[in-house]
Amino acid sequence: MNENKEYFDEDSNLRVSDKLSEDLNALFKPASFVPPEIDRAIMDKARQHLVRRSRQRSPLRWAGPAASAAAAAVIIFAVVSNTGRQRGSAVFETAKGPDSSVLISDQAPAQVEMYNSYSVGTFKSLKTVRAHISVDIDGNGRVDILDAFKLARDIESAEKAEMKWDINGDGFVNRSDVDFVAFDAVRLDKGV
Amino acid sequence: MESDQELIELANKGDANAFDALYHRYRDWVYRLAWRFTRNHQDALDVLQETFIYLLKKFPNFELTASMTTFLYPAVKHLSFNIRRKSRRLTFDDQVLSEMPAPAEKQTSQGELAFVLAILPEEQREVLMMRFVEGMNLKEIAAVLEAPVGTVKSRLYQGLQVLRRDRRTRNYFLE
Repeated sequence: MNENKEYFDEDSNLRVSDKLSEDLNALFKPASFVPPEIDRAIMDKARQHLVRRSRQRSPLRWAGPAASAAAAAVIIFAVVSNTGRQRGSAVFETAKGPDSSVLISDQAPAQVEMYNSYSVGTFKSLKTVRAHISVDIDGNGRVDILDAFKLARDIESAEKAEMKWDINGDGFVNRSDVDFVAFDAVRLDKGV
Repeated sequence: MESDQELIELANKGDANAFDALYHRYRDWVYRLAWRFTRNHQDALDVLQETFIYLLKKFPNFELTASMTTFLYPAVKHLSFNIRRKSRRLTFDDQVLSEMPAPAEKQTSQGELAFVLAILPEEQREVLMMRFVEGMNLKEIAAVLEAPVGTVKSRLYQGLQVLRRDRRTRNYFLE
């Protein structure tokens, strides 16, 4: 305020005495004060409004980290899978067996290539697939990134994977199914 | 102590305590200004509440581009006029005379000052109040009134000239 006054007081015609300033303030000083009930009423409204707004923002707030986690899961799985492939392990693709389970096979290189390129077409069917298949892999009652991790681990470690985890319905249980679960776990309209 | 800008950023994130701090920082200023416009305690309280509800609705995307007083002043003024219109109260000019406390012996100069202020054109009186009661600087006043700084300076000068020339208030300007 000193800076303001200096700026203002450059013109002596615009200065006033301390007495005038005091009397102006005395004249226009309210006789009463704000009662505490008014304070409480305003703060109650503020809390209601800000908390409600904060809740509305929360899905967006978590979307970034969740998407990062999903991306990390996909990358980890891709790295692990590629490592396994270099070792000649049969961990990439699966084909339907006679007992409706899935036999793990490395006979589908084209499918692996399609998956590695993250074809847009691969993810377009996500909503359709999600409507028909539950992706609560770990059975904890909710779909989250842990489901994607569990499915990835199961595909990698087991000789047989349950056909019910053919999330995208392409006849294989593979990394694209893991992706579907991961993307499902971080969708913005979740729970709406 | 956090700046207004810091408190606003926190309130934008849903921090009710930050809004609480803003409220207590400007509550008395808003009430005093509202009281000056309405000259009525209950009306001033109504304006106070409506002003902070108006501010609250700006969150969570509130961006302060000037000072808080510059932002709040037009809101308080507008709400005060609305309330005054609704309650069909007397205008400021009439009320400043009718509701002025009876001047006691030692308050004679204040009563005379009020009388001279009451005969000032509203635009001059408002600038005087903004400067010497609300403590706003020229740039803030200009921003609030959406008028050039030169215009504000001119109104202030003219208002002070009236006080300087009137026999009831000229003593304020004697060295």
